[in-house]
Formats: sequence, C-alpha cells, structure tokens
Amino acid sequence: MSRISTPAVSRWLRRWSFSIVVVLALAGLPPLRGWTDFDLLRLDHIIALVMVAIGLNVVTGFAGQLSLGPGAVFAVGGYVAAILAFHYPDHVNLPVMCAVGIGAAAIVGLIAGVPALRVSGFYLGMVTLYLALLIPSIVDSFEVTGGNNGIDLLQKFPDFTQDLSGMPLYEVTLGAMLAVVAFTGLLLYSRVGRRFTALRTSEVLAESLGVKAYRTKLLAFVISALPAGLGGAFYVYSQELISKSSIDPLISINLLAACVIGGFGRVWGPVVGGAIVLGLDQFGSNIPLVGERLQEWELLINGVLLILIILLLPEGLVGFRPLDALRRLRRRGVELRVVRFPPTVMSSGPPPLRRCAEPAGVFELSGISKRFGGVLAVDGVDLTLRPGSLHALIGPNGSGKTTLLNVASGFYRNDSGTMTVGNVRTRGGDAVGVARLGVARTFQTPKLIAGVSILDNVLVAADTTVACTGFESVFRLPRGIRCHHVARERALDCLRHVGLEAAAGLHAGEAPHGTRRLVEIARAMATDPLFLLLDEPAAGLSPAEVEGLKRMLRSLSAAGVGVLLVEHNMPLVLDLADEVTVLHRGSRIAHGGPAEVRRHPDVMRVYLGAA
Amino acid sequence: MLSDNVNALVIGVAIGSVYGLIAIGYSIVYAATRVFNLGQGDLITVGVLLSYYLLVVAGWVGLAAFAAIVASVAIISVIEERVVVRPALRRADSIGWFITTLAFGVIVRNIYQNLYGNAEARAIPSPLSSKAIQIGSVVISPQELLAIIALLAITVAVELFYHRTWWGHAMRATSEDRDTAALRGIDPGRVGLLAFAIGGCIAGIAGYVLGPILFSDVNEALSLSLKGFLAIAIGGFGSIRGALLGAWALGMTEQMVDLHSSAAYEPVAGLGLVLLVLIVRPTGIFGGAAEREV
Repeated sequence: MSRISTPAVSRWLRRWSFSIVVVLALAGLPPLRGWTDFDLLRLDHIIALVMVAIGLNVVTGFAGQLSLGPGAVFAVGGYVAAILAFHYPDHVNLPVMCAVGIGAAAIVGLIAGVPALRVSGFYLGMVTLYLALLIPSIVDSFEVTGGNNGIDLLQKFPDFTQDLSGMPLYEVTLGAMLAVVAFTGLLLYSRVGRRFTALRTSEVLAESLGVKAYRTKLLAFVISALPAGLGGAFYVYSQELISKSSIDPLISINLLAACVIGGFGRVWGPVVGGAIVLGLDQFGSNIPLVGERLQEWELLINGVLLILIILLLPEGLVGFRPLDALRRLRRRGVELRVVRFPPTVMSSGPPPLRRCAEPAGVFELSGISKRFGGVLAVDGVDLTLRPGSLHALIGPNGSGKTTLLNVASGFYRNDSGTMTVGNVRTRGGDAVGVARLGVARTFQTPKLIAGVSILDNVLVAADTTVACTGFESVFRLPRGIRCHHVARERALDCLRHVGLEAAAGLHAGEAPHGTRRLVEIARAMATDPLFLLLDEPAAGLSPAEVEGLKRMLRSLSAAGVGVLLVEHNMPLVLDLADEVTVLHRGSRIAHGGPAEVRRHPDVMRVYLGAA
Repeated sequence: MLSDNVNALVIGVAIGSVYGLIAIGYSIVYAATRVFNLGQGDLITVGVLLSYYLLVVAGWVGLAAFAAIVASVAIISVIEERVVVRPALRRADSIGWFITTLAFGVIVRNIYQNLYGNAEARAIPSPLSSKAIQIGSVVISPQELLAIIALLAITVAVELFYHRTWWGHAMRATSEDRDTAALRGIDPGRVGLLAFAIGGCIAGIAGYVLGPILFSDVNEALSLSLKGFLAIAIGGFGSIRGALLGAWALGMTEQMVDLHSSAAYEPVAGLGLVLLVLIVRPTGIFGGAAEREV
C-alpha cells in the first residue's frame, strides 16, 4: 500500500468507485433480499429496457442526435427473436436469439438511419418518435407478428426456457447489461467516441476536423441500435412473450426520461435513470400505502421529474456533483477560474508539426464570390496563402472577411471562382474535403466540446493524424493503443506549445475565454495542417496572451505553415503579417506588404474616414 | 371506380383538415419561438374531452361550451409557455424544450386520463345535422365539412393577423431574427407568450370541431401530435399555407393508400411521404432553403 502514491489511489477511486458500487449493488441485491422468481422476472424486464436506454445514450448522449429510434429497434429485435423462437423452438436458444436480435437491429438501424439522418435536431427526434408510434400499429395488423395478441412463447411451448431461468437468468442478463455498459465506456473514450462528442458540440466543428458528419451520425445510429436489439432478445427470452403492449411508444418516452434523469452522455446515466424510472414502473405498486396511487400517477411523476432535471440539473443525477456545486457557491466565478486554470506559459520553440517540411504549393483562391439572397458578401476576391508566410485579412465590420474564410474552409459554397490547394482543385461547400487537404481553422466563437477534458478536445484532432480503425481503438487492440499513445503525445505537444499543458486534464466547459481560444489553436495545430485559417484569434485575449500568440504565430510560419489571419487588432496585424489583403464591402481594395497597405489611400479612407 | 377515388380524395381533404388544425397551432408557436410544442396534441385532446364533459355531462349550450373550451385550453397553453418552455429556452440546444414540452404533454395526459377513468371512448354530439351531405358521388358529413371550413377560416385569420396587425408584424419579425427584433423594441418573451396563447386558442377550436369526429378518446394525443408534425414536415416549417397544403396532401395520401391497399399501411404511407419530401427537398415544399450557420 505504501508504494502506491495517494493521489493515484484517490484518482483510481474517483474514477471507478461509482462503477464498483453499482455492480455490487446490482449483483448482491436480489440474493440478499431473497426475491421471488416473479420479482426477478420484473428485474429482467427492467434490465432489458435499460440496455435500450444505453443505446439511446450512445446516439443522443454521446453523438448529440436527438433520436427515439432505439425504442423502435427494441421492438423489431424482440419480434424477430420471438418469431424465430416460435417457429424453430428446438434450434433457438439465448445466444442465437441475441445474435438474431442484434443482427436485425443493425439492419433496421441502417435502413431507418439512411433517410432519417438527412435531418437533425428536433426534426430527427420527431421522425424517430413517429417510428416508435408506427411499429405497434404495424405488428397489430400482421399475422406473422401475432396481431393484437402478440407472440406468446409460453402458451405454445410450456417448457420453453427451461435451460435458464430465475437467478441464473438474472445473472446472465445483468452480465450482458454490464458488458454493454463497459462497451459504451470503451466507446466514449475511444477515437470514435471523441468524434461523436465533436459532432454533439457542432456539426461544423466535426467537419472542420475532417470528420464526415453524416457518416458519423449513421455510425452512432447503428451502434445505438445494437444494445436495443440485444435488449429486445433478452426481453423475449425472459418474459417469454412479446405483444403490442410490450412496445408501447410510452416506453420510448420512459427511456428518454431514464437517460435525462440519469444524465445523457454519462456512461452510467441510463442505468441510474433506468433504475429510477423503470423501477417505479415495475415495483412502484409494492410501496405500502402510496403504491396504488403511485402507479396511477406514474406518468405525471415522470413528467415532473423530467422537467425538474432538465431545468435544474441538466447534467443529470450522475453528472451532478453536490460538492462541486457547493464549492462553486462558496467562491464564485472569477476566483474559481484563477484557482483551477494555471497561467499559460507559451513555448517559443518550434511547433510540433511534421507535414510542413514537405513542399506544399500554395492555397490559391481566385475570383471568389458569395451571395446571400440580394447581398453580395464577397465579390470576386483573389487571395493566395503561401507556406511559411502570414497573410492578414482585414477590413471593417461586414466587409466579408469571415464569409471569405468560410468559403476557404469549405463551409460556404462559393457562387463563382476557384480554389486550389497545391495542385488539387477543391471547392467551397466541401468542408471535409478541404480539411483533409490540410487546411485547419478556428472559429470566432470557440467551439469547445463541453463535458470532456481539454486534452480530449485536442485529441479528437490529433486522432486524424494517426492511422488506425475505430474498431482497433474501441476494443483497445495493440495498434489502437499504439496509435492512441502517438495521438496523445501529439495533443500534449500542441497544448504545451500554447502553454496549456498544465490544464490538459481540466474540464473544457469551464475554461475561461482566453483559454478557449488557445485550446482551439492547439486543436487546429494538432491536425498537422499545411494552412491555418484563424478567425480573430486575439479577440478577448489579455495583453500577455496576445504577446504569446504573436510568438506562436511567428513560430508557426517559421515552421512552414501558411497562416491566414482575420483580425481587428491592427498593431498585431502590422507587426506580424508578410502580406495584407483589405476587404471593403466584399471587394478587395488593397493588397501588399503591411507598410504599403497602411499608406494606401483607399485603406486610409475606409479606416480613418479621411477624404 | 373513379367515384371511389374522388370520394377518397375528398375524405382525405377532410381528414387532412383535422391534421391541418393541429399543424397550424404548431406553426404559430414555431414561427415565433422556434419551439415545436409536443404538447399540442394533448391540448387538443383536452379540448375534445372538455367538449364531451360540457356538452354531454353538464349539458351546456354549444356557444357557451365553445367559449369555455377555447379559454381553458388557451390558459393551459400559456401556463405551458411560462412553466416549461421559457426556462428551457435558456439552453442552447433543442433537447431542452423537446423534452419539457413532451413531458408537459405527458403530465396533462396523465391528469385527463385519470379524470376520465377507464371509460370507453364515447361519441360527442355534433351541433350540426348528422345526416351526410351528398354532392354527386361524394359523401361527406357536415362535421367533416365544418373541419375543412374551420381550417380555412383559421388560416385566413392567421394570415390577416400576420400582415395587418402590429403584433403580427412583431411575430414575423421575431421569427426572422430574434435578436434584431429585440433591438427594435419587440419583446420576444411577450411574442412567445402571445404565440402560445393563440396556439392554445386554435387547439381549443380544434378540440371543439374535432370532438364529434374523434370521439372522447384519451389515447390519441401523441398520434395527433405526430400527424400534425408530418403535415408540417411535408409543407415546410414556418409557412402557414405550407401547413395547410401539407396536411391535405397527407390526408389524401392516407386515404388513397387506404382505398388501394389496406388501412394497415396508412401510417406507413405518411412516413413514406415525409421521407420522400426529405430526400427531394429537406426543408419541405414551402420551406425556404437554409444556409448553414458557421
């Protein structure tokens, strides 16, 4: 004991104590209480549904896509398993049913996901809620699904599940759920999970890192279907029947409630929330005196709980840290930040970039125009970014700087003009393609992934520079682990370069503004870019931080990166830039070295109002 | 055969008008607040159940019942805005209001389900004659005709309100750009409240008109909510005319599927139509193309 340092132990305890308590409680509860088989059956029911909630957590909590699809997938997985068991009772056992349930889930997830994911936000939520409503009415009207009566295995084969029941079945079901929890834990802290959280933060952010938003959404959608299908199979196996009432759309709402109450995006969230919501559903009537009332008003209780949690504890019960909240109340805002965020010490050494040694050619924009309705925001602008040179883009508010940057980074489709990186032709509107050519960017309002550490925010970008598959990363295969170490080192190097190494482990959501900007720059650097587009990086930085930023930008261009700097801070621009382009009302009115541009009559007129 | 088709299309318009009455309530609220009120179906069900209670149990006369229903549902809608919608709008994402309005609907449903008890869904008498009207080969009940007329009247009234009154302008301005509207002295909070009040009135009117068509069924609210959503998804968000036409298109498609295959495929047809629209034109037929926000 004495050999292990105390901080390591406490960190380990902090990370795992919750999991240990939950696992012990779940495994120990029924035998200690001496529960009857009927109680165990209800527990099996709860656990099967919790698996569905865990799937919901993957797509909505991790990837931020509001979806009620898992409830519908649960129904399909359950019915397919039941139909199979009904027709081939001799060949079907639990593993087969699970495999079939998962397989059916994957297929349904893919079929539903491909069209549904063309939309996002609440729209996706509505379409999937409709799906959950649709399936009960479909099974109602077909013979193969048993119509209104559903499929009752026990009625047809009185000794159907002899090989596993009671306590052993509970243990197996519990084991399966814990395996699913462990899987989502591995998933969340893998390169796949990091992409999901980037997507959750903003589709734009994900694409700026070269992550294909649609594909990532589809992956999240399909992965979320797998535990739902498994839950369906376990449901049918333990309850020995499935019918319209087993897949009521209210279940989807209950599962949503479970995730919200437990905490979306937390690995244990759906389990804790599920224990509360589904426990009330199954065992509420056991509570003496109020039991009957409780069942009558179950929906109301869930609804009120949902509203209270969403409004008061948006992180859910698992994310709720009463000690932190107390601490925050004691010492407010600013002081807390000073205490928790170490001062930045930017390095003046070379940045941790590899690619810029290669001859890259130039990033050439020519004749770019962009129109919004009747407004010509950018009008035939030419701009060239050279490796190792810093190009400043200045102009009054509304002159089209950010619009041009959004075209250059591929987020806006340009109405005319051409873009080439090196000798590769590219186009506005293809953000992922532009990013993959080695063009990185930051945003005027930093887009940091909340709920994960600053290191993870940079890691998601560093992941794009190492070659390993999501599978290798999720299941911690040797190559996945090796790649993770390389990416992690790279992310730490980038953080060190912007002076945030000491803050790597802190929560990004709590970072003050200056820190957020620096994290974004570190993240852009971590993609190992050839060209870097910075949208007002100095806005909101302290004078000391601006000095650090200057040193950093110099070292970046010294290392061979071509930097485009959109900026209002004129001293900074004139001090750093090799080339300056001035925009006014969408057109380029001047271009040249800083000294030349400063003397340009049009520029003086626009900036100083001189005649 | 032709007459069957024509009849199905006319019934489709009538059923579509039921969806349209739901959809317009959504549209008003959505345009002003960017909130899709998932409790709307439950508000309409409250209207239906109140008209059952007042007309059948308490024996009120039609007009008094109508006024009471519209007022009560509007009050519930305003309470919803205050208690669950406005606080949720402080969150940046749409998950907040999606869940709180869904939860509000669930709470209201639980209350009316318990008040109504386990009784069967019963017919609500129509103030109009129950004798079907026959025009050529088309047969339609007076109440269904009333649904079509009510929908058209509400659409016209809402369009007039949008274009002729200060509050209507304020509401359209807020839907265009909340912040700029606020700079011009329009309080988005009050606009939101007004939108929920109007949405509630429409839900109340819809409940009164639909009562004789839908019966006093306590389990249909979620399905109604989603049908209204499908109508808007087809027609385009934020467009009142779009909601109307989307609703009719949905109703007619369902009736045609019903006629030519089986009623079992009716709900699938709605989803299919929406997915088709999504693939061809993701913003709906009358929705404007949206530039992505960076």
